[in-house]
Amino acid sequence: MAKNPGGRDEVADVLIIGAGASGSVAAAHLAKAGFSVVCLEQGRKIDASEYFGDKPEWEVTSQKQWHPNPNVRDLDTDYPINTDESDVNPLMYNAVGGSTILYAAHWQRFIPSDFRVKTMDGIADDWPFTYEDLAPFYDQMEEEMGVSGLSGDPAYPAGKAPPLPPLPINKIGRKAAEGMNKLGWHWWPSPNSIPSKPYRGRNACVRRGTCLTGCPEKAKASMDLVYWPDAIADGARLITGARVSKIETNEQGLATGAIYVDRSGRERRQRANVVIMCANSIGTTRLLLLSATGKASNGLGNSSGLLGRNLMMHPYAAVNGLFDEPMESWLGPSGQVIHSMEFAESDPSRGFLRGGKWQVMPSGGPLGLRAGYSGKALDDAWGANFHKNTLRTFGRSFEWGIIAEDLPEYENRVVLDSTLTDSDGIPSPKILYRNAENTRKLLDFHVARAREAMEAAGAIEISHTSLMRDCGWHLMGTARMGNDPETSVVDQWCRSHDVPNLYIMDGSTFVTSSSANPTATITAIALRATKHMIANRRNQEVAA
Amino acid sequence: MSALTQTERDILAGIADYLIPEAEGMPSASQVNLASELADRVFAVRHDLVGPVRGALGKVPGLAGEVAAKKLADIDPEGFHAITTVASAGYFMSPKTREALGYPGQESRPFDPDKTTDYLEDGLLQPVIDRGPIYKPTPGL
Repeated sequence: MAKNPGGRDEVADVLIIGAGASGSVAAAHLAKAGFSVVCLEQGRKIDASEYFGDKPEWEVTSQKQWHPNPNVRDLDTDYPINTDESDVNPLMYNAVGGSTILYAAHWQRFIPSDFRVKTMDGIADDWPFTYEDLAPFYDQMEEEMGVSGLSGDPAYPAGKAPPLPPLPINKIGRKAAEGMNKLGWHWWPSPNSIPSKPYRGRNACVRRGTCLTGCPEKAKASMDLVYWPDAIADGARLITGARVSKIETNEQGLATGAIYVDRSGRERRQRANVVIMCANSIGTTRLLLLSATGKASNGLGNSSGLLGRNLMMHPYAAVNGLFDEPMESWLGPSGQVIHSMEFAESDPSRGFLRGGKWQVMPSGGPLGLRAGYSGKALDDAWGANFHKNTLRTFGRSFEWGIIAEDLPEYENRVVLDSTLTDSDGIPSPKILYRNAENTRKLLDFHVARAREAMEAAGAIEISHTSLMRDCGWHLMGTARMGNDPETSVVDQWCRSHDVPNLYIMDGSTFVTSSSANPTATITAIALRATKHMIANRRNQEVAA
Repeated sequence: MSALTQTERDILAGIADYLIPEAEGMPSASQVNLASELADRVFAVRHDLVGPVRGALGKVPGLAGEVAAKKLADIDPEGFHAITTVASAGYFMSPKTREALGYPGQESRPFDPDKTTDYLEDGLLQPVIDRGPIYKPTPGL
């Protein structure tokens, strides 16, 4: 029988599932407003001293325990994901801070047209609010996260400047920019949630370039550092090692809390007046499907039948250029140094709709570079050639990474796997995801343009990867928002159309995917919804 | 406790020197103490590699480095991949290797945050600024 934590019969004002990007924002703001907040997080708190970025073992650990693919990491805090029928592997991290522990901190806003795709391009759907509606929340999130950047990017409407000066663009950024200038194409020094100066208790970036495996400097704005100290000081209770198996509801169909398994294997119950799902598009969908009841037999909050549908993961291509000069291309931040939105807007004459965002990042260390030789013949990859290849390429190349906007496709979805489970026996998710024809054409076009950009920059050798399989950092769209309960799962305030005290505040609610990195938008939407919840607290329907 | 027996270590050393010889001004695997020291540091943080490496080494007793490597690449690709991972990861961890490569590691490299906009001073960004907005406005839509 499930017990309340510590034997207490506590009913929290708000129960948050997941201490990642959106859950941390909601927890901190709700606790500050006086709500009693409990957050259940299946992972643990990571100390910065555990990261290997400042140690020689950095690269070899990045290929296993600090890999972003949970199926590669295979940690007890992860759940396995069946990807047999997916073109892309979903990436994430389960800990206090969620995937911001391993994210690259590209703090990029969506562009205005991203919120009006149906109106402008006649495909997908419009969002229930506009860029202008979200802009004040983008501003506040940039302030809270400590974003470093340069104001005036012509790819965006004029707005408030980031709170910190931009990070250096280094030699690789300058080289890439020179090529873009020859072609007359857009580029801009990139915004990153990495402080260029000490900021609110975090240290300044020192360019180790290991952001993707956790920041040992306590500089990068991961949510464990940005929000949880204040949230806990304001009374929020964070329970780690808490693996949720079900959201409970009463006879009226209202949410009453959650059942979870602690690390002693005991089943526990946490009651609450309001439940907020913040477990990412895959984790949230999994739990709501697991919470099916007699009245909601196909999943909680799923009268539309759209829960789990329209999964978007941002297919990613890369164009690598080799140059005949040393560029220290391992040097951070990592982080994006420059980005381009030249081809982010739709142009139907290209044969596809919507666009892609490009960014330049450091190449990492020599071991990662060697991974590209794993499929080569023995004599080509090893012996004297091992040294020749390394000396010729290491530190002398950079990559234009291309994020493709994938459109919502009904058949791209998250379901429960029929046999796979996590270590507590809770059914795992299965991903069914194929790139659409529009996406394939988009990627082909962008790879061709990025090769031109590399050539213009003076690359002596150019290679590309049309689609990286381990690229599903950006999980979006499985519980889309909208005004019509028949065609959406939540409303514009992230509240379930079916269950008035159930909210979804992670990337699940995205109507379309943009081509920009989504964390800035996920958190801006979570902040907007949280403020609305606070302002309307007296009208919130709760279980008796 | 050591991850490898001395016999296994000797086989690994032979294979590693075939994979990573002294050449092009770079040291060999044995010159950076790969099999005797650095491999243990890799195994200390990558326990998952110990089994595949030991399994593979057990299939080529007494064979010289090149012969052993080519045989393993043929009969045990997974084990061979584990060996090459240990060899290359350990090799690039060596200060001697890094010095020869000109790679300081992922070092701390502070910067002056008020002097990061060289592209504004030298005009690199000016053409982008001069072209003006490129986004499609949506108010009213």
